[in-house]
Amino acid sequence: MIKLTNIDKYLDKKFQRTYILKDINLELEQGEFASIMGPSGAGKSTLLNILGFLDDANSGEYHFFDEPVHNLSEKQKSQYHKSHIGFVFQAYHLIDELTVYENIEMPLLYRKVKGSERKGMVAEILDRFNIVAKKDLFPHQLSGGQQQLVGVARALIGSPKLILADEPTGNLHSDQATEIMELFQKLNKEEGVTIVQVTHSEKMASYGNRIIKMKDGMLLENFPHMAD
Amino acid sequence: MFKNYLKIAFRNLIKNKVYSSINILGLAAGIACFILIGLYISFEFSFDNYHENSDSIYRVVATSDRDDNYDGVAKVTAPWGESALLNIPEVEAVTRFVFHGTSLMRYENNRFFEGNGFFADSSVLEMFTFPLLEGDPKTALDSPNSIVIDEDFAARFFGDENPMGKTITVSEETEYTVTGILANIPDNSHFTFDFLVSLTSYSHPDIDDWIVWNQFYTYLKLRDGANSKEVEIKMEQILDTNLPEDYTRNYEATLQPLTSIHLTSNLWREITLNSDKSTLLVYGVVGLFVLLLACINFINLMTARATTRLKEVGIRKTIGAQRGALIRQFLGESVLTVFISLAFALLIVDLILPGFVALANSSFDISLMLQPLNIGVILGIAFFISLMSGVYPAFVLSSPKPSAILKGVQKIQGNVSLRKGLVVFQFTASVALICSTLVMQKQFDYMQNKKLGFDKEQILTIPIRDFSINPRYEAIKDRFTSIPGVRDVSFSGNMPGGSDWGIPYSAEGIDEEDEPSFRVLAVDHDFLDVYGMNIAEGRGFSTEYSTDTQGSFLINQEAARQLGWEGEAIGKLMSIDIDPNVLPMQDKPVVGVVEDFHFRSMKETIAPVYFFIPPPNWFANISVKIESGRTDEVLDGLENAWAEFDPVHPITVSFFDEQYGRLHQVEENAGQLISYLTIVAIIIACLGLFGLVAFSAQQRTKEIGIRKVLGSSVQGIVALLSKEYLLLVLIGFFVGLPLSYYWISSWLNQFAYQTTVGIEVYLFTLGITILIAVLAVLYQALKAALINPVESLKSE
Repeated sequence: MIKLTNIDKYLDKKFQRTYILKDINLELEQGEFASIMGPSGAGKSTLLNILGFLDDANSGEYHFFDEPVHNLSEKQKSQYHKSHIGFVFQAYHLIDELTVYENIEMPLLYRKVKGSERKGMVAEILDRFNIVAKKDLFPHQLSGGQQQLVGVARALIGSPKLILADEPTGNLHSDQATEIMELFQKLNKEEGVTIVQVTHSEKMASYGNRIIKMKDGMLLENFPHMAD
Repeated sequence: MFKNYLKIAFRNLIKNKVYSSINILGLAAGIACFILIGLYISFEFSFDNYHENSDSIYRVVATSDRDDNYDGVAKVTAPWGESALLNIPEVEAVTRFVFHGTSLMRYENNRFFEGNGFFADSSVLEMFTFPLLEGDPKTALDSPNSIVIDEDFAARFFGDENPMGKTITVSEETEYTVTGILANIPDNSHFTFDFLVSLTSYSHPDIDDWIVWNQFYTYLKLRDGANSKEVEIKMEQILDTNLPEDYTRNYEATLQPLTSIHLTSNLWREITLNSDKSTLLVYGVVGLFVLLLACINFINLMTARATTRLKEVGIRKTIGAQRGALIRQFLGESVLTVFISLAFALLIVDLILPGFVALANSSFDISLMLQPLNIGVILGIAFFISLMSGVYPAFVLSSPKPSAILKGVQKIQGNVSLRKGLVVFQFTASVALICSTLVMQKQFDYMQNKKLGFDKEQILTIPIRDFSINPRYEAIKDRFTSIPGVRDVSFSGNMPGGSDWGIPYSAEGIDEEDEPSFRVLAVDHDFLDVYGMNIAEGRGFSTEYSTDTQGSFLINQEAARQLGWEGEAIGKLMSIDIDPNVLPMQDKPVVGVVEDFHFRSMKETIAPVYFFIPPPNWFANISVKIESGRTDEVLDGLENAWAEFDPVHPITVSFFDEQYGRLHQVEENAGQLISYLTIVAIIIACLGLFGLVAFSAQQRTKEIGIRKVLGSSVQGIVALLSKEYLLLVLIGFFVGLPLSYYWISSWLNQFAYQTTVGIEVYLFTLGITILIAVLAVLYQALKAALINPVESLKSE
């Protein structure tokens, strides 16, 4: 499903090139639940952003379903955002001015789903996440865990093939975190959604079936000698 | 989707109440000013174009470029029109108008003084578009003593009765028969009237003279395709043929297009005071300025606010929003905000239109706005502002990589200098406006207080209604003088500031071509006393010299100067070139020189004037000098005394200083209007500053919190926030200074007598500008500085 070949990401400053990602080679199969782990500054979020087309690599190739992402136009990328990829953020990133219902509905608006169908889809997911009662509240009226539920619901409503989650439980206490992780596990097992999450926590990583360790912009599986 | 955008837009507006109201109300004020001024200008340009034949009607006038004070006269003698129709093939029709003069008119027991009317050729109703509601336009004004009246006149005299065929008694002598009802004359007409009387009712001994009796406003309708320049040449030829051989003509026949009279013609004896394009230009420029200021604010605040929407943009992008969708969203929001402002603007326009119209000496109403062109312009401007204010957020915000936005790395820096530039521009404009207002005010004060050369205070004027009382004028004077509180009484044909008669004259040893244009005062012996005019040389008119009556002249110093008689005027001979049987003023001596005085407004230089004592039947006004504080007493006394001489006509009394003040009314109103606009401009500029400081304080909340924790004082924070904006204001001041200097000098140039513009005007402007800027900045800066740092740091 995903194939990264020799991906580099760097910043050029005067006479020095600082690598954020170096020579990343990574393949992910459909149905995997991978956790990217590593110390701060290892390049985890950057890698996730590149996976989600939110950022471009400086060199290397990225194939998504055999499509060369490095050659895609903005328009094609946003097509993929609409239909294939869902994002979950550590800071939830809900739109403050919209209610829970409207936040969840928004991806459908960009996909030009018809009104009646849209209502049905939002109602179903509200029900599935047990947040029907909250649908008319604004984000600031919810707890962090509830906000993240809405964030996940929003990511899922487009039935994406891939969910990218950047420390989805980073701002949550452990009960809430467990809830979100069990949800991810269920989605992965029952619906076959591919999930890639960035996390610091071994416990959260254990919900997945693959751990990708990073250090100094490199994947440890590519450079086994770096492991300590 | 659209509903979603609308929701976000509205919730954003409501969430940021302060910014939204600053934004919306500021823009609304700007648009409202612009609409008002725009309507005014479009009204001014619409004058006389409602006539179906407006393109083919011309007024023929006698123009001259001999001296600065005199461009010509709007009236000509009767034969001009007659012979134009007979001898110039291009002329299809001619209409001449003569003032009817104020008369007491009566129908049964309804009596009114009616003065707003003309004698007119019967062609008037077909040539001009003055539609008759009743009556036949072809024949209504054919026979003598026919009158057509407008709706208001009809209602005044006849109430619900049908006026057609009814008789109106004029001065209890003549009877006019109503032969038509006119629709009220539109306001955008360079002359209006309540009634027209057939010109066949009008007579004068000199009516056929080519020189003497120039009382006819003469309009020609040319045939299709006729060239007005050629008609002018033919008119010139007619004049050459018909004027006496020994007559030196110092004017030329000129054809003025009907529609250009209101804005360009400024001759002697215009029917009403016309406007001039330069005043309109001033309004137009100021109006645009104010709109521009408001737009700049709007754009500034919209773009500043837009940076807080970055997160939303990032989220939308990760969800799959394309750039186009984001651009549409932000443009849509600015369109929404602009149209809310427009709605407020229309409300403001509706509220202040009457006051504005009064100040602008105009008479349009709100319905003018409904013309397609005006609607188009207003909508066009609204969309333009939307575009200008929406483009930046739309394109800049939609461009960056979403990952960068969501990480919070993205800082919008590029537009900061643009925003600062716009603030500088706003204050440049404000400074220019403040400066102009101050100078205008100074000029008006100066004109009010400048020595006129005579005393306009404590003078009452009374128009004579029944000229049969004139032979008894000495008895009337005695009777009026006996009223307690009355100092002096004078009869005169005209008064300073009022109309004058262009009576041809000649002066000893002066060639006809070199004769300056004189103003004339036909007065009695006591005129100089009533008006407090002083004698510089010789003596004034006196009853001790029986020869003074129709036998001697007074001139003013300017006249002596222009004739080259300085110091030697006494005893020089002058003549009035009129039939000696009418006025035996040929080769009579100058007996005195009067100190200079302003005959008309300060805009004109002091004109040469001659005085003479005419026969009593020339008198038209009585001027009464009274003691101060006794006005009421005198008014009662005058009313009783008046009834003894003229029991028919009620007395009408005016205060001379008010009448004379009207000469400056237009400029004073203009000044007032400009000062209001300046206030609006300053408020808008301050709102903008207020909003920007508030925004930057909000952006820097965390920085302020940290600084305070680290020990910064409140003053330190206030200085930090205020410094950069006050610097911008100062820059604006120094850019605005030369601009306003240039502008003010050219405005002042239209006045013959100008106030001086000293450094104090600029210092005062600087003071005002800094004061209001400090007030605008200080509030927000203080507010930000006083927040408890615990609060500001917690929010992070």
